[in-house]
Amino acid sequence: MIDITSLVLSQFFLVYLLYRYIQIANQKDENNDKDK
Amino acid sequence: MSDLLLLGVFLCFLFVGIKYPIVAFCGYMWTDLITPHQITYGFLKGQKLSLILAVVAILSLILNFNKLQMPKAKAVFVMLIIFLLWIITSNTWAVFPVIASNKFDVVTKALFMATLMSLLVNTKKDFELMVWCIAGCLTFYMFSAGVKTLMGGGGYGARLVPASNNSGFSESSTLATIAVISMALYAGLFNVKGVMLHIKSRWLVAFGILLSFATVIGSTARTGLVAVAAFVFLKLKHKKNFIRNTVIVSSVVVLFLSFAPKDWLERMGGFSSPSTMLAESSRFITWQWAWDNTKEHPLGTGFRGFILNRGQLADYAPEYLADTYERKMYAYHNIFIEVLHTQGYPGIVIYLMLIYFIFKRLKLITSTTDDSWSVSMATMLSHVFVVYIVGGMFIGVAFNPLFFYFVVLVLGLSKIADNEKKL
Repeated sequence: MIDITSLVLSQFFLVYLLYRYIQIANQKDENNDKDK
Repeated sequence: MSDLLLLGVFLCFLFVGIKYPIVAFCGYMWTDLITPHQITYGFLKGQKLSLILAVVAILSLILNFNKLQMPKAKAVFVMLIIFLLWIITSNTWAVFPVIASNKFDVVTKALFMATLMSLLVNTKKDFELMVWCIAGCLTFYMFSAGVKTLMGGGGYGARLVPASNNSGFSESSTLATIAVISMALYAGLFNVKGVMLHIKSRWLVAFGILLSFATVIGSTARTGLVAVAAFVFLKLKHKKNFIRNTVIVSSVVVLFLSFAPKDWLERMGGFSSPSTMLAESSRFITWQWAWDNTKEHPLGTGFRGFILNRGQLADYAPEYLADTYERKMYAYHNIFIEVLHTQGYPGIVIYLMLIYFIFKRLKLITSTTDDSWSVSMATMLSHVFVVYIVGGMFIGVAFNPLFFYFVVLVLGLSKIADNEKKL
């Protein structure tokens, strides 16, 4: 039970990191497009 | 259910990694640290997840060739490549080539991927993605082991984390060192205004450190205690009110010792019991043997060369213990002895130079950069490496992929700090 809880929490955190990374990368792309 | 969850995470790394190569490489790093193909019991067991992610990572790197940047810390980068080439070379004369092949495989792949990854960590968001991925993966172990310890589990050799055998992060002393590295990461990332995350909650960080400390206690590994002492010293020495903080820490230690379980205290005390003396001596005896044996293999024995000490350790043991060591063999339990014996004199010189240049670069960043983010990350990494080396004085983790991933972070930080200086 503890292992599963740990796995779920840590893996959801990793997926959230990927989501944040895409969000920031897209923001930077939009800013670059506006500058052009 | 864990198979489905891990498959989902794997697919996220895979598909996002096609567009962003650093994500694919972080996925590869995830397979190294979490070992999803080993901790599950269902359809993912034994699947070649790292191979798939490696292929996608390299393809994505080729497609995004314009994003590659050479690290500014050229000495570290060159040493990393020379170390990889030397390991490949020394393997050609490995004394136990078949037995060495598995570790050779893991280490060379990790080094190769780390070298490529260092070309992709170019911005703060890349660095933070990588460092938070490492923190997330290590938290998987800290939560498991820490909660189990707090609920009354633990003991040397106890399986506190999901793993198939007493190796890697599931081994008690290694787990204890990883726990202190996690503490260094949590403390270093706290309240740093990052682009991806900004953790301001003291309680969350304190909880992470508590779980890591509980993991050290639960592992009952003396290695962990030594690593904690090194970490506490590092955190105290830079702070104002050194004497006040030392008194507070000492009071906490005395209070803890008053309530610590008796068997834990006995294990930490250690020196009064014969079995502990034996455990202590086995490391020292093995180091003496390895030091002498390197003269017969000056260019290294290749991985798992410690097997040569079977039946040889009795010559280095006290007379009254000679029978005990007659037929046994012991692993190195020291990162420098491990590199010296397996990679020879050239190997240990390369390894020491790599470590020297890492610390030199981190010191350069902390002393010449105005960017507080870069200074915080450099300080955190220097603490991580100190803890790694201190813990590594008693465990054979010289070639653990985690070490090379931290080297990648140093290389990435060198570029970011340099870019910040130019702005």
